[in-house]
Amino acid sequence: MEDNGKTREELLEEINTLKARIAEFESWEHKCKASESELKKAQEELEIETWGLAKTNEAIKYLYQELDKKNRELQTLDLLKTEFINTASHELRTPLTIIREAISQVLDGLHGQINPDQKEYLSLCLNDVDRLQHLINDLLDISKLESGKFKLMKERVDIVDLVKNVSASFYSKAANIGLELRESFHQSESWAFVDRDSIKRVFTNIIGNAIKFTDLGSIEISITETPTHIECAVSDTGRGIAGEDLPRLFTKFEQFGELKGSGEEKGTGLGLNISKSIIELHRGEIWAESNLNKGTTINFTLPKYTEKEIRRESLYEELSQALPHKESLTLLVFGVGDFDSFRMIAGEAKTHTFMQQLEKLVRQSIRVDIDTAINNGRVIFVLLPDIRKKKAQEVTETIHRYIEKNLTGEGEWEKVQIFTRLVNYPEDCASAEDMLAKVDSDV
Amino acid sequence: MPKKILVVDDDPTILRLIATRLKANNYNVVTAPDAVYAVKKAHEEKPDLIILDIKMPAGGGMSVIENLKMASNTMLIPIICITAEASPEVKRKAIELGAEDFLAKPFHAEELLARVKKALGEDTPPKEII
Repeated sequence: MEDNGKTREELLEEINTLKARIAEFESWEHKCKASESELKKAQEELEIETWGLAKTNEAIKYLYQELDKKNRELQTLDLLKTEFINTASHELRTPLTIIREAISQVLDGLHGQINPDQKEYLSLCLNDVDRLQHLINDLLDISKLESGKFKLMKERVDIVDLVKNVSASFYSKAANIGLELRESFHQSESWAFVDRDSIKRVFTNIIGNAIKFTDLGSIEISITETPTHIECAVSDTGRGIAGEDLPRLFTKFEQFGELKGSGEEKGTGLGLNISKSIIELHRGEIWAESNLNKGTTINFTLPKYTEKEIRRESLYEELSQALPHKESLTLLVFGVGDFDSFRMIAGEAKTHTFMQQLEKLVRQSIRVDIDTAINNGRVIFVLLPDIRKKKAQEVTETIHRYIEKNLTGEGEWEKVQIFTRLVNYPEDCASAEDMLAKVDSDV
Repeated sequence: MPKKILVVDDDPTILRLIATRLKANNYNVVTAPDAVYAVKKAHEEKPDLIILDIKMPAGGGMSVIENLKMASNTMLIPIICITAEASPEVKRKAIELGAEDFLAKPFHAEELLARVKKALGEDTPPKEII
């Protein structure tokens, strides 16, 4: 049969093609349905995960709040510690004042005459009131030392001069017992960077002990210097300390051997412990050598302070105070290339003026009240809290450009090259000590 | 003529003890138990010296110093501070506000008397006029 111009075969082929297409579509539809159900499944899983994340988020928020709470509690605790020390001091010292003055007045006859027996017994009281006073003072000092609240006021001190003063106050006491008090200084001056009153107290305590425990012979105080330290030693020819007791020498309330006298004479048993804490706070060491019945030597070292050490110390102070509360801190250094030659050519006065100008320019470029600039005479340090390294690099460049643009003055200054250095916590270092080490040549 | 000393302390026992000691050494003594009374008495009695406990309740002690050093008829009266808490910060603040001297409790009577003499100018020989 012929019609539409198509043969039977052609029509059959079209039908087959159509059939194939239908089969394709059906298969496709089937795949779509499968994908659809997979998608649905995936969507359900996503919902579960989202729910899970939301829960985790909540938990993190809660932990964060707890952390914040604990932090504030710690800060309060810290404040309470300080308050406790101050309040305890007040509460203990007030009754002592009353007791002391009341007894003292009766003893002085202000409230009628007293007989010798009464005088003797009241004097006993007075002695122990004074002993209590020293004990309280020592305990409060230990409390401060151990809680890190003992503030050292460091300055340049001539240890030789300090020792001369302290031993002068012991001359008569030593002479009364028939002891010789000798000094052996290997140089006429010995400069350390220390808290004067604390170190004086250490010497007073150690020399006092030596006199207390020496029946006859001599006490020698010597001071020598090594390249990095000042070594002090107090030797006596006294009773000495037994080998097994020696390790406990610096422990609180340990006192060895019998002592003549009582009350005040006895001491608090805390002196050496306090001395040790003070020496260690100054980053020195203290140790004892002794032989029973031959004598004892107490040795301690104090870090020798040169100009560089003073500069280092003050920068360390700034860094250790700034670091604990920051996630990041950047230390910048701005200085003159080859500072020593510059200073030699320009002279002290001009160098000083130059550094002041440099400092002023740096200060004009930093954030007031947030950033710190330190002029140590050789370089300008800048502390940028809470700034990441990359941003700090940009800031450095900005400041550097500003300096170069605005540095004016004497002819030689205009040719001066300003170098910069950058150390970032935590990317370049892990601690204040670390940071300091990286800029050591600039300090 | 015996000098007049105003003693200020919130503890009545201490007030009494210091007063007794000073009287036994021929000083006239006026006492005050708190900051308000202290300022009032200072203006009324015009003492030659004030001994002041600076750790009185409600920051009283420091306010007395401030107050008296600002008023023209009391600003020249020397003030000796006494306190059980002799921290460097407290000492420095007191001196900054104008106190002449500072004594820690518990003190020995001899020390108190020596400081009193010094503040009243009794321990130095009269200056020579050339």
